[in-house]
Amino acid sequence: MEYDLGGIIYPALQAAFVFAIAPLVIGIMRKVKATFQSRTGAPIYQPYIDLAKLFLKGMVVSETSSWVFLAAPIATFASVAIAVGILPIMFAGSVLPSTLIVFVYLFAIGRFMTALSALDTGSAFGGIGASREMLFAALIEPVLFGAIIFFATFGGSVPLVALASSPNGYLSAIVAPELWLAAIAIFIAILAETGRLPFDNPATHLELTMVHEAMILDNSGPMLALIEWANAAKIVAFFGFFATLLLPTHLLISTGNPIFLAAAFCATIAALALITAAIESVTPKLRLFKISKLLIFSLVLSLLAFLIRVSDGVQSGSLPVFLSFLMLVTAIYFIFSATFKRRLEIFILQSAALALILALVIMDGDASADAMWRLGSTIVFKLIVVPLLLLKAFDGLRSESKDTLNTDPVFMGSPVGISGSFVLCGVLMMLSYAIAPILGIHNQMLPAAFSIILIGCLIIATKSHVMLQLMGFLILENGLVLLPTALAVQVPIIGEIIALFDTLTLVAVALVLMFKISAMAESPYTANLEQLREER
Amino acid sequence: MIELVVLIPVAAALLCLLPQLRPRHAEAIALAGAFLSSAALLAAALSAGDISQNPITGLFGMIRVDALGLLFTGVTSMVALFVFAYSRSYMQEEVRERVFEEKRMGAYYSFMLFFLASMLLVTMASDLLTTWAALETTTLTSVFLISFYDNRKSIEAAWKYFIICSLGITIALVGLMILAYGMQQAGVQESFAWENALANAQKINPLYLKIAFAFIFVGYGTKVGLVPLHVWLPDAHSQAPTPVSALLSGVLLNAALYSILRLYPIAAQNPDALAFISSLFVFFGLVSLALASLRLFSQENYKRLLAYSSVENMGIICLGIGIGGPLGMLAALFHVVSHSIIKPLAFFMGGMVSLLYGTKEISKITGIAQKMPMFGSMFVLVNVGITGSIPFGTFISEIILLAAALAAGNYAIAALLVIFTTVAFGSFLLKSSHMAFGPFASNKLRNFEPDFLMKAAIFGLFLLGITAGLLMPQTLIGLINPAISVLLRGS
Repeated sequence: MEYDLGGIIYPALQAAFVFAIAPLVIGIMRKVKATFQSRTGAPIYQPYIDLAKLFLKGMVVSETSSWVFLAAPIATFASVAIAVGILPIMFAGSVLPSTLIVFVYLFAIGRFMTALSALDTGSAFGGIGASREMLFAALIEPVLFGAIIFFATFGGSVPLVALASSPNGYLSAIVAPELWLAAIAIFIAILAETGRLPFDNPATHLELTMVHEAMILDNSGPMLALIEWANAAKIVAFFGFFATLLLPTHLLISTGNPIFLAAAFCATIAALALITAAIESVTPKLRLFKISKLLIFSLVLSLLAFLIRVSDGVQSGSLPVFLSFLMLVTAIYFIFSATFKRRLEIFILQSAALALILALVIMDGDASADAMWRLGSTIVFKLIVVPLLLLKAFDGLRSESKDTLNTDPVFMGSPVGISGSFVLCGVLMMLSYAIAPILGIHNQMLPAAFSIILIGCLIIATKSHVMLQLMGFLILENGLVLLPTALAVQVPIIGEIIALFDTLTLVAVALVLMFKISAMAESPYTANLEQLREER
Repeated sequence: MIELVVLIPVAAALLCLLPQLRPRHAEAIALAGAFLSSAALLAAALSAGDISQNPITGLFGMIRVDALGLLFTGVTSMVALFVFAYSRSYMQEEVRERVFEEKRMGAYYSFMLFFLASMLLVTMASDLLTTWAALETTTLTSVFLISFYDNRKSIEAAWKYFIICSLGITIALVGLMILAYGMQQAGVQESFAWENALANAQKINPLYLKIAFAFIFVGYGTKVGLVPLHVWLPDAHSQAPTPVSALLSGVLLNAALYSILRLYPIAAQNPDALAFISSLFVFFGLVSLALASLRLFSQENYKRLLAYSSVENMGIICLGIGIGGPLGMLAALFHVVSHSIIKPLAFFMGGMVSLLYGTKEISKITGIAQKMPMFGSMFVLVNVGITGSIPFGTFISEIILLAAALAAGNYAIAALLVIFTTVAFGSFLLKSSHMAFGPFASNKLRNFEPDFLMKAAIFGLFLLGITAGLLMPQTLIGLINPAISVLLRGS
């Protein structure tokens, strides 16, 4: 059914429908969270009752506030209503980048007015909430824009459908790494934009941890009802945005019957609400510093999705390629993670993905001796021996010097912080995507392998703890093992054996050196080792 | 026979690891191992006949020594012999001064022998992967040699060396993979064997050659000590014990350079690629030469001074390779040999001086010539000889390099060469004359008498240097010429 932007009927109907089901979605999410917390919780229609109650109550308006305070809730409601109307979330049609930009910035109007009203009341908490909200907004918008640019490369058609037109059909569309990367990036942005955990806790009572709630602390009565309703509709709108662009299940049912479409849409939204509530229940609220880093991480992911899209890679939809991008994402996430155990898990995940890639390539027909050796040595050494060695070394280190590797490297004298590292990751990925086509290779695994190698170098250069530098080197090794597979090069098996023993010796030497350093300096941070700097 | 050259040091190293071994026995085993290895090399070289037609092979095909390999291996072996002779007395003195414990001597000699074996394997390997693996092994075996003093500075130097050099060698592996890819695109099997690569070099797409060579140059160039990847070099060479510094400066840099040179004939088959890699060599050579010679003046530690001079000399060698042609190559290889003679000699003399005076700071050392006139004058001669003055071989190599630059029409390069070597000469003259001449306070000296082997090592190298530079340069040129023809094959 072609979508006519000039008409007013369909947008209005769509907006009415979304506003009607929005409180139900909020109710479902609260119910799921209650179930996770082992309590019964309120019934799922409770938000309707809350809204009705608020509409019937009187308002208390501060005397020091101006017309902005009264206008903001109305502006928010109106902008959300228009935004919900213009996006073709229930009716098939083309998804133009211009529509998406308007969609994102209509919500920005609402956010802007709410922040103004928060400042208008003159209370301190309003100021806190407004400044934090604006910080998040500044970081979310690039991610959403990255998503819009990603969708723009599909020329108006839905990504899943467009990718499914390649030879392998839906199978290659499902394992297309760019789709997953864009999905994760957009989902993180949606969580941030709608104020869910881990960015903002909608159920918190502590003013100092509030972001959105702090802004609307002074609102009451019908105005508060409008704001809450608009917020609920915003959540549904963003879920609809996600669903339309990435998993348009309601469009895959090819009957034109609007009842069926509405039902399918509701089902999709309910599923997304369940998933979001589940994620909210198991994630803690992040500290403010970490939130900005998480958003920049999602920006890097959307950049990577865009790079995959615009490179001339042909086979972007096969399982080995998907796994190689999983390796790349784990390498980037390594920079972000904070504890040693988590970093070790990430490394094991990366090595497992590598082993899987090697196994798939062998099963595909390349059963040469060096490929089998590479698979066997990866499984034994990278998945078993090296993690055990690292764990033992870490325990030894911790008992010696109470070192937990849990401090933020920004405070340990490293030249770039995590955010800077992410920016550099983006630069390095663009570099590898620039180099790979020069070699005339049309396999998407090659830029991924190059990026992993370069990010390994980045980790070594920016981390100042010896153990982290060693793990950065191991990540680099993973990328290096991927390279012959990506280039389809035969390496003589003698060379592979020697390389393996070299790697093992390297790990052993590094660990011995680490213990020496931590015995000499107070702790194995190479930032402490600056005796040999030249005096200028 | 040729396998013995590598296997003997390995066997000796394993022997030195035995727990009940007395340190004196370890010294003897090490010295014997180095000597026998050199003897094996000499025997193999003499019995091989014409190497340019028939390279020496061995160890199930892992070893292949042609004229270029024989030159580098011979230099390595010879310098190692002198280093082991010197290190006996040096380490005994350090043990006496309670800097080291005597029971660590077994580990020291074992690491030295493993280090020697891996460096010999680099220059004798038959295919590119073995060279790569052997170079990686040299990094791993020398890390603990650099940190041998076990104080804060030496461990820092060892860590920097370890990380930066391992990183570099890994990048070189990426380049090797790209080269192998290029060869497989051209339909060549067994892409890592050097002879194979050389025979089929014409078929490879020059783009792959260039990219692969760029990666390999940056990767191995880190180990050679080219600016800006040289940051580990001053620290590592100054914090290691003196015999280790001599090995690092005199031999390891050569081995890394050899790994890059192994690819030069392959890339030189294609004139486009040849222009590219020559410009790489010239650029990095000039930058290393410039930066290092300007840095020399501000150095206060004698060994750090010598380390920066190594960077400068490697720059000169790269410049020679970049200028290319028979003259440029002759200059480069002659400089390789004469630098490997004179740099360890400078380290030996500096080490002896530091043992006598108890310090390595240049400002605190004066008046060597007052106490030991002959040694003092030798000291000054050697120090200015490093930068290329008579009577040492470095003078001849730099003159030939100048001639090569002028013949090729690169007047700017010739001018820069003259300027920077003069700057280096000035710095070295200033510092060595401060150390050799000037007032002398006898109460400051320690009671150290070098034994026969140390004196033999110093005098032997000195005589060798003068022979190469003054008395019989033509003989040396005759030995180098077959190596040049290997490099210039095909172009």
